[in-house]
Amino acid sequence: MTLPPLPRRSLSRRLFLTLLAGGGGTVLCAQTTAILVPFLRPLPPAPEAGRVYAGRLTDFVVGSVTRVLAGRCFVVRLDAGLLALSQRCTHLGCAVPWQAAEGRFHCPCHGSTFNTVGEVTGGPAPRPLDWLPITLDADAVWVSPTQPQQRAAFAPEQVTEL
Amino acid sequence: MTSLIDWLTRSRVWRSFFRHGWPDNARDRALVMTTNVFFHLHPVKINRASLRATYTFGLGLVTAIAFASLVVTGALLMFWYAPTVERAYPDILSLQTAVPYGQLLRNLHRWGAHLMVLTAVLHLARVFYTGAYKPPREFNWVVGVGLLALTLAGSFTGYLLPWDQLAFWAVTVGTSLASHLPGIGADLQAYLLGGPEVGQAALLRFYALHVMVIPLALALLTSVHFWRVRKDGGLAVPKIPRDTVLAFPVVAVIEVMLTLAVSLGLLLLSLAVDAPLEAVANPNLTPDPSKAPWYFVGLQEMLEHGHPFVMAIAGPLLAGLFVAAVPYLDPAETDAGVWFGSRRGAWITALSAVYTLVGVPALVVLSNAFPPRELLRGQAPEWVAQALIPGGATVLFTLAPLLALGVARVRPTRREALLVLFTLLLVTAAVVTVIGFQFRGPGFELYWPWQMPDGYNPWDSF
Ligand code: HEM
Ligand code: FES
Repeated sequence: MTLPPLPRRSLSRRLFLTLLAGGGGTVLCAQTTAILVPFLRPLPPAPEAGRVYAGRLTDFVVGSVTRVLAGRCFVVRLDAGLLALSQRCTHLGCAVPWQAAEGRFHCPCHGSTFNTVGEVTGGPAPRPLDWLPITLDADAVWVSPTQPQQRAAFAPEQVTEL
Repeated sequence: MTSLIDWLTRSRVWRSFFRHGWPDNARDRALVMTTNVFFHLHPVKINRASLRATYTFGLGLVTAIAFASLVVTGALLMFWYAPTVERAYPDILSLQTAVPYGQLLRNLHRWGAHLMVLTAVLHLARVFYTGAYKPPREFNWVVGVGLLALTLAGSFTGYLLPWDQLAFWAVTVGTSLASHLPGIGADLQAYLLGGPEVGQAALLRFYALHVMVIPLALALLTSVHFWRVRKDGGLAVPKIPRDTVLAFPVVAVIEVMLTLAVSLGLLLLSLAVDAPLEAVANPNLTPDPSKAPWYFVGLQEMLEHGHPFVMAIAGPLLAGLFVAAVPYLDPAETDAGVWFGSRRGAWITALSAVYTLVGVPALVVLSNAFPPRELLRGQAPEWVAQALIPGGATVLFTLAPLLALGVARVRPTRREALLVLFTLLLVTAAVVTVIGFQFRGPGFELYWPWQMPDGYNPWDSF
């Protein structure tokens, strides 16, 4: 059976409602996405987590590598000054320990090795260990573990001169 | 007896529950399927060939049963678990030591999750090798790939919750993979973790995903999957000779028996073997070796041989796209529901499997003995050693069998070409998983399993 053609007026009403539903649906989806993206964005770190006390200047003798557990980092005393290195492997994020016997950082996960200034000497790590800003407060040394700085190579300006 | 049944089925109460009589005749057996909400996903009549155990091995059904068991045991675990850094680990400890049957429920949930991942992969392989993805079932194959991805996501998010060393570092390594995506990598990882590293925010996010978002999505997609199986005319079996039986009660009996078998198997396993729990998570101490969960350890193995972006992101993404595209690459409807399509297909599959079984370990050993990354360090740009060489080797290794078929003047059909590629992918995944799991020891170095140093046994953290 063939149906009689619909009168023009009701067709345009159907079209109107279809467009309204489709357009409304699109707007709803867009608005949901626009809300979800900022909603799920991680909050910035709390300000008090910004600085960690690493020790007194005199604690760091030239050539030493000192672990700062609370800051998840190491403070390296070079001839020129202090360099803070994140302990997080640039390969896949394992905690890289300093191996005093080997004289280098050696990651347990896939065997990346880094020298005292954090440059890659072996293994799959794609870039040097991140460095962290240091602030001096009289003779107190503070590091900022929440501001890791990525770098392609070691450069003198990463060192806090003394 | 008959009069008792008569009295029962004529009673007002029975008739208010059920819209069918006692199912001992064709009419009522058909009505069970059409009037009962729990049965209505089944057809009234079913093709005998699709009931053959050696056709499906019941793998899809076992996957669904494993999922159902996970929902039950998971809901029970929620009564004793709080997703906070302070309480998660102690909660698991007291669950194991103080709560009656707590350890058993934890074991059931853990082994159930492993089973679900395993059977989902095997089910995918079954559907592929029987050509059951062919029209009109293309879309249901894609739904299936989505289900597999969700299954892996469910397992991975659950892995973090005990908050022990195993959980913490497996998730650290796993989410760091995302950070190597060019451009958006770091943001993606931060979104997943709710912060720059695995901590309270990550635990809470993983928990929400694990107990709510992923199970809901799985339930929804599984419903679509089942509905499509039904609407696509049941399983893909050769239509001639057409040989159907009434589906009730055969199908119900099979389903109940399989449920009992899976429950019994999981129960026995859970009584015999405890789920692992290591020391509480310590962000300052990475255990050596630190491995991803077994279904991702193959990726970790791949990572040994090239840049994270090539080996763990671009490669798997391409592989995933290829798998999802399978039905569109081979749209011919011929030989759907026949294992390997033909004898020649079976031979091609077997040869591809042997080629991969020999070739992949050889490549791994070669790349371990002469690592391009170390040999070329400082002599060639990093992308040559870390991307071009391993990527090129992988592409060559993948295409070689197809070239060989060409040289041997075998004109493979599209299905046969897919058999080669898919087998290569599946067996490679299996081989790198076994190598990463069983042959890697401290420092993620290669060892024979019987020569593992420091008493390391990968099964302790399975
Ligand atoms: C949570 C995971 C999954 C569950 C619970 C599940 C469940 C099932 C069940 C119960 C069946 C019917 C019986 C059988 O064929 O064994 C089925 C069929 C099917 N599944 Fe899955 N499945 C899952 C994952 C997958 C995956 C990963 C794929 C493939 C990428 C897939 C593709 C298919 C297809 C195409 C069919 C129809 C098979 C045919 O017509 O012979 N499913 N699934
Ligand atoms: S995480 Fe350090 S080498 Fe992979």
